[in-house]
Amino acid sequence: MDRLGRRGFATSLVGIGLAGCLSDNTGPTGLGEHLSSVDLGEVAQLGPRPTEADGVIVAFMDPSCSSCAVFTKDTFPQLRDGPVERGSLSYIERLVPWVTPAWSRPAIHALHAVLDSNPQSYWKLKSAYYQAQGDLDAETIMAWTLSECATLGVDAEAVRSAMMEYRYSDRISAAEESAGANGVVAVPSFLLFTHGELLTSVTGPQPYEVFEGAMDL
Amino acid sequence: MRVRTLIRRWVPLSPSAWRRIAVEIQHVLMSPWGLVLATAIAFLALTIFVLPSNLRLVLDVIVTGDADISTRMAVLFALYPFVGGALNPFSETLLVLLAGLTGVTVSIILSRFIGGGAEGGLGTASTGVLLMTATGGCAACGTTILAAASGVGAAGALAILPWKGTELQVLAGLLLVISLHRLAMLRGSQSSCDL
Repeated sequence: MDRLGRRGFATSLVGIGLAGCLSDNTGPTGLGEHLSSVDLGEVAQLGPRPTEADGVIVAFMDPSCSSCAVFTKDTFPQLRDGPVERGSLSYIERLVPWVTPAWSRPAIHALHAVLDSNPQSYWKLKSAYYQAQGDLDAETIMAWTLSECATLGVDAEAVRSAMMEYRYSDRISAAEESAGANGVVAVPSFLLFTHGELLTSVTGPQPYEVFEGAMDL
Repeated sequence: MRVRTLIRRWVPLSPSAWRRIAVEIQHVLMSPWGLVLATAIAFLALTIFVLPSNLRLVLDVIVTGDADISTRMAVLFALYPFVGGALNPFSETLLVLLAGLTGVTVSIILSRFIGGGAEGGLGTASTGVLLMTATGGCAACGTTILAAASGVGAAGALAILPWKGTELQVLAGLLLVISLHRLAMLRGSQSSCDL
């Protein structure tokens, strides 16, 4: 065999060992430590207070991310209607913008504005974004969002000004910093806490069975 | 004329080239040991594509966790395509197909290694396998790389790809096909040790 062939094959074996999207999670390992950097009034949250729940999931999501849409459609309802509804799981969601498309960041500002005025409508607007992902772009996001807000009975003017003024940049930066501190480089990603300690992290729109088995839900 | 010869040498354009590839694949799969080896390598490749994106989950819950073995296995298999998995049916199918192609290609490479008679085609084959393993995992994450990571190496490159790495998988698949083509072309002129 020629040297190129042997070298190429050996390189392949090394490549196999290094393949994939490895990332380190070097952030806080305790729930209290993690929550100290989170203002619970500024994030979407379902279920009992994090300090009173057996388990806590901190999700990093983006309204423009198709994989987040898959998670929201397939896995999230099972978490919400199961352990969250039973009061054993607290679900916290933090919004971080993807590099593209350009409508992601204004949509996150709109979601924060809706969260402040009517928390229940936050989840409805986010689901609406996921369903309309293919139709949205930087030009249409404002008009589409305001139209959707009118349908949901949300103060559209407050949402419009939030989108125009980039009012929630601090929250977005905080979420990005938190994601970075916890080794999150992709969405959707999840930090799983049980009994106040970081159990593990999950990447991708994994099925309910992953969360159920990992957290003993 | 030289260009046409060069293309024919690297790209399976003719029906006879595809027949040779089919015969090469059949040669591996018809042998019991070849079939076992190709299946094992395909499963290993699939594992390498799927698990690294959730390495912490694997270590914290499946390897060192407190849960019983059935729960750990349920979590593990939920990460694989079609059983659970985070991808759409198209990406899952593509991933399984590429894992299968990787299994066949590596089996042929190993048989040539054992035979000791292979030449330059192995370099191409190895490159195809390398690209497959290097890109398959990231595409298998089923995730979107964050803006915060967009300036950082491979993660940044993946962030600007419109199909989030699927195009790399297609490229790797093409390289694997070229690898098989090259290996099939060499079969006639060299001795090898069949598996």
